Amino acid sequence: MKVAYFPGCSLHSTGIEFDISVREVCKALEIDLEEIEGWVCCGATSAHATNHLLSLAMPAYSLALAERMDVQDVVAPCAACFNRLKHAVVLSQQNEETYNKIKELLPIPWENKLRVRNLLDIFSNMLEEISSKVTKPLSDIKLACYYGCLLLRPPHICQFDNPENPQTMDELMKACGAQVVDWAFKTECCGANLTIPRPDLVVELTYRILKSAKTAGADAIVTACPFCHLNLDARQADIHKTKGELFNIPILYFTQILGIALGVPPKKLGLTRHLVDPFLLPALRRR
Amino acid sequence: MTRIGVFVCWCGANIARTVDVELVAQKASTLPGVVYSTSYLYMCSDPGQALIKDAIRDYNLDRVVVASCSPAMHEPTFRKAVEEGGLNPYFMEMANIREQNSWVHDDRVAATEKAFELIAATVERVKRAQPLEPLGFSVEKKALVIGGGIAGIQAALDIAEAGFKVYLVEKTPSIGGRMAQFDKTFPTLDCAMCILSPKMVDCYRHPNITILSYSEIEEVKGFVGNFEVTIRKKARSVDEKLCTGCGLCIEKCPSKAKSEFDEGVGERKAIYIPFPQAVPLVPVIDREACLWFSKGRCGLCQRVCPTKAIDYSQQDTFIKERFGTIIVATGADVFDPVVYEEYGYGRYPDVITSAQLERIIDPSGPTKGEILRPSDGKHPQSVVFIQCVGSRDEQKGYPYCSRVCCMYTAKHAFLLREHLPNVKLYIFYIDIRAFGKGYEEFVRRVQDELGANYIRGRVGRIYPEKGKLIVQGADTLLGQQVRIEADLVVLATALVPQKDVEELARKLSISTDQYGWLMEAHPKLRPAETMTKGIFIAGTCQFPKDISDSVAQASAAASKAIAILQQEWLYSEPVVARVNKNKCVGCFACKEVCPYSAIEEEALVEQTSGLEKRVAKVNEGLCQGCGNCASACRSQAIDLLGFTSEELIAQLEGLAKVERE
Amino acid sequence: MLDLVADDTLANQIKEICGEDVRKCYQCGKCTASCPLSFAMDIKPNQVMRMAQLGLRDVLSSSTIWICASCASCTARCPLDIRISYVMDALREIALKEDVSPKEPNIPLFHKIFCRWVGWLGKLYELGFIMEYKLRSRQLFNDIAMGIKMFLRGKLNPFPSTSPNSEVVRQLMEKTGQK
Repeated sequence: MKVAYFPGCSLHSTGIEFDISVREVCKALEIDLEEIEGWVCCGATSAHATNHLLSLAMPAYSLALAERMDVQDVVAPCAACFNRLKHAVVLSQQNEETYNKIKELLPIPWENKLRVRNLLDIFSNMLEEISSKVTKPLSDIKLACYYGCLLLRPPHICQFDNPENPQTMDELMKACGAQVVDWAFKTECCGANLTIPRPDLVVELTYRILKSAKTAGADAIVTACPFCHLNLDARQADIHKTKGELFNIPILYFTQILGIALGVPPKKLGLTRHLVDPFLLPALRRR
Repeated sequence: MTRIGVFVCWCGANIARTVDVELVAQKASTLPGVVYSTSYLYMCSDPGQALIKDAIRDYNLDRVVVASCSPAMHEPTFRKAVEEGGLNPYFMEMANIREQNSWVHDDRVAATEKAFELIAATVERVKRAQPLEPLGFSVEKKALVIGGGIAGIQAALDIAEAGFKVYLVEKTPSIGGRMAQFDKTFPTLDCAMCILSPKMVDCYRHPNITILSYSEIEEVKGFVGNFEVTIRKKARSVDEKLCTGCGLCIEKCPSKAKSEFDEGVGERKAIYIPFPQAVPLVPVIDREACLWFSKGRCGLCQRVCPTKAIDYSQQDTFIKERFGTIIVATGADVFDPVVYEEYGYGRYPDVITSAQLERIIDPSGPTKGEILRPSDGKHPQSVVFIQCVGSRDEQKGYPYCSRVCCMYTAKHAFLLREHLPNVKLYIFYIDIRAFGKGYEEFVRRVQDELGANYIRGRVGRIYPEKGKLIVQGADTLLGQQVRIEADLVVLATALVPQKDVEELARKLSISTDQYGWLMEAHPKLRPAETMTKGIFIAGTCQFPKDISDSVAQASAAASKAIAILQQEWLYSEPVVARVNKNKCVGCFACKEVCPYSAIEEEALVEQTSGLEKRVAKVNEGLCQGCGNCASACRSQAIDLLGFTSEELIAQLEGLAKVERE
Repeated sequence: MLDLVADDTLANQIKEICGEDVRKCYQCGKCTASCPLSFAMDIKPNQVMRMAQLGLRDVLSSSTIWICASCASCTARCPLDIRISYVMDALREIALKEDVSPKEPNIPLFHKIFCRWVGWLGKLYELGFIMEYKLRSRQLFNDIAMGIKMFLRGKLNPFPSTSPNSEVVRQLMEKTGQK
C-alpha cells in the first residue's frame, strides 16, 4: 500500500522519534510512505487561532501537492497535522463557499479528492495482519493509551473512533501483547502549545493526566501526538518542582511499542531521545 | 335560468376597511344570473343569516354566494342557513375576500376590484353546483383501546361506564403501564400502585371490558363506525382459563433473565408475572430464557402446575373484531442514555437512569425499597441528578422539553431524603419547569425543606476515582466549574416515542410527527382526535405528559368515542370522490396516491363488449375528500363531489370573463 | 451596573468568520463544565457565549480567548451543536484585527512569531522560533534546562529546514491579511 506521507514540522524536530518509529513500523508492515514533495506547515495551532481562512488554505496547499502523486490516502501521524488537514477537507466538503475561497487562494488546482487518515486509523483496520506479525509481544507491561484532543475532536471533523471513549489505540496495544489500563483522562487536553507561553497551566493539566494514569496502574503512557508527548514527557521535571511529585512515567509513541512488538531493534526506534528514560521499565530494559 | 343571491360581508372593518363592500355588492348585481345582491356588517350573525333566509324566500333564490371569510371558518354556518332557507346546503359557495384579499392587501381600489372578481368566479361555479346529501353509516357499538397504561385504563373505564363494550389490548403480559413501575406520584406523593391497582381490577371485573394482554394489533381495516381489526394474541404458553395464579411455577423455575419491569436492575424467572399486582394474574413464559424452549429440557413448571395450565405447544392466535371507534394509548419509551459517553452510562454501574432509581425506591422493587447503589450495594452518601438527558439536546437526543423530568427528579430527591436523612443531593438543571398545580410549591419544598442543592448548569463529564464518581459540571450562577464526588448519579432521561409506533400508525392510517409522536388533529382545539375520523389518542403516545394530563386526555378521548358510539347512524360530508366507471381504465394510479386506503377494486362486465374489466371504487366511509385521486386519474374518470372539474373550470372561466379596467 | 444595549454586530462578525451562530446558545453551561482550562479563565466559556450574544465587546479583552487551547471538548459536547472552539478562534481573530490589548499578551505574541517563522521558511523552525519568542517575551531563562536536554537528545534541530514552497505560504498569509 502506497500512501502520501505528511510528516509535519514537529516530526522533524521535537517529535523526531515519532518520525523514526513511524518509518520503521511502516517498513515492517509494507506500507510505502512517500513524503509529499514540498509540503508546508499545516499551521497548527497558531494559524487557526488567528486566521480562519489561512488555517484552511495552508493544509489545503499540501493536499493539492499530494494530488499530483499516485495515491488515495494522505497519512499524517501527528494529531495536530491530521486535525488541520482534515479540517480543510471536511469544511470544504460541507461548504461550497469555503472550498471556493480556498481554491481561489491556492496557486495550484485542488480537487479535494484525497482521504486524510491518521496512522491509528490505518493500523486498526489491519489488526489481524499486525497480530500475525508480532514476534516479540510485550506481555509484562501496562500501558495507558492517551489519545488527547486532536485525533478525536471536534468529532464532526475527525470522524475517528469514539470521541469520549476511544479504543483503537487500546486494541492496537493489546495486539502487541501489552496490557492496557482503563483510565479517566485518555481524552483530556494536555494544554498543547500553551507549554511555551503558559507552562504553569500545562503543568496543571499534565499533572492530572499523569496522576490518573499512575493511579490506574500504568507503567507508561502511549501517545499519538508530538504535542502531547512533549508536554507529558518534558513537564515531569517541572511537576516535580512545583507539586513535589516525581512520576518518572515514560511517555512513548504508539509506533515505538508497535515497533518493538514487530521485532524492530529498540535502538532503531528513537527510544533514547525521551526525557524520561523508557529503559527504566524492566519490560523494555530486557530487550 | 338560475336565480343567484350574493351576500357581501363587511366583517366589521376587517373587510370593509380595504374593500368598498357596497360598491362590490352593487357591481355583483349586474352579473348574469344574479337577481339579488347586498352587503351586511356581520353576515355570520343571526340577523345576517336571517337576511340570507329572507332573501331566498322573497326573491325565490336557488343559489347563494357568500363573500366573506375562509370556508374553513364559516362554511358550515352558511350551509345551515341556506338549508333553513329551504335550499340544498351545497347550493351555497363562499368567496374568500378576507384571508385572500382584505387582510393581505392595502390598495383599496385594487382590493375592491379583486373582491368583485372572486365573487364573479364563484357565481359561475355555483351555477354548476349539484345537490348533495350527507352519507350515512351504521355504528358498531364497541370500542377498541390500544395500550393498557393509565390512559388506556381510564379511557376503557369511561367508555364501559357509559354502557358500551370495550376491548383493551395490551402488548405486555399485564395492564398497568409505566405508572405501575412508580413508587409515588408527584406532587401529592400518592402511592402510585394504591391508586392504580383498583382501576386495573375495575377493568378486569367490568362486564363491559375484555382485556387482551400480551396481544398486538395485526391489521386494521374499515372506517369510523365500522373498523375491522385483527388482534394477534401472542402465545403465552400458559392457559389463561386454567391458571389460578398460584405462582408455584415461578417459584420452581430455574432460569433467570433481567426484569423489564425493574428496568434491568433486578431479575425475574423465565416464567414470570411482571409484578405482584399484575392483571391478569397469569404468568407468561419468556421463550428465549426458558430452558424447555432453548435447550429442550427442564419442563419443571409443567410438572408442578396443579391445574395443568402450562402449554408449551401454544401458538399465536388471531382474533377478528368490529369496532365503532378506536383509542390509541400506547405510551412512550424512555431515552437510552448510552450515547452520552461522557456520562459513562453502561460503563459505570452507579450511573443509572431515573426509571431505574424508581424501581430501587419502590418497596416492591429489587432492593425492597432500600436505596442501595448497584456497584457494591451500599447506601449512597452523595447523589447527583442530571436533568435533560436526551431532551433539549439536538446533538445526542431530541430538541423538545420532555415535560415530566423536572418534576420526577424533584420527587426522587424528596423520596431519597425520606429514605436517607443525611444524603447529599445535587440536581443539575438548565431551567426548572414546574408548571402544574402544586408543582412549583413541591419543587420549592424540595429545595427549602429537604435541602436538595439545585445547581444551575449541566454536567460535562463523569469519571470514576477511588470508588467514587467524579461529576465535573458547571454552576453558571457561580460562573465556576464544579466537581462533586458522588456515590450515585441519576440521569433524568427523556420520554421518547415507542420504537414500533410508526408501524402501528401506518396500520391505523394516522400520522406521526417528525419525532414519532402521534399527531393530534389540532394542538389546541382537537387535542384528543386524529385526522382519521373515529380514531382518538390519549396519554404519552402523543407527547410526554404526566399522569394528570394523560388521564384528562384519556377521558376526553373516551367522551369523543362515546359520542360516536351513541349514534345509530353517522353522517359524513358528501364531499367524496366518485368514479365514472365507464371512463375508468383500471390503472389504479388513484389507489397509489390515496392516503386513506379508500380506493377499492371492482369487477365489471362492459355492456357493449361483454368483456370483464376491473375498475376503481371509492369507499365513501374512508374517503376524506382530499382529491388526490381526482388529480392523479389519467382518464379523468374521478370527480370530487362539490369540487367537480366542471365547477372548477367554470370558476376559472368566471375569473377570466371579468372585464378589467 | 451595566447599561445594556443589545447589539448583534459581534455575533454577526463571528458568524461571518466561522459560520457559527452564538444566538443558538441557551446557556446550559456544558462548555464550561467540560473545559479543562476554565479554572484559569477570567470569563467562563458559557459567559463568553453570553457576552457574544449581547454584543459586549469586553469579551475581546478577556484572558479566556487566549487561554483556550482549542481542545474542542466544549464543541464535542454542546447539546445545540455549536462549535464553540470556532467561536473562540473567531474572537481571537477579531481581537487581533481590532488591536484589542490582550490580557495574556504572550499568547498572541507566540502565535504571531509562529506564523512569521512559518511565513519565512514554509515550515516551523522550532529552535529559532522559540529563541525569538523567549527574547521578546523576556522569559529567556525559564525552560532552559529542558531546552538543553532536548537539544542533547537531538530533538531541537540547530539548523532550519526550509520548504521549497515557502513563497506560497508567504503569499497565502498576505492574501488572507495575516498580521
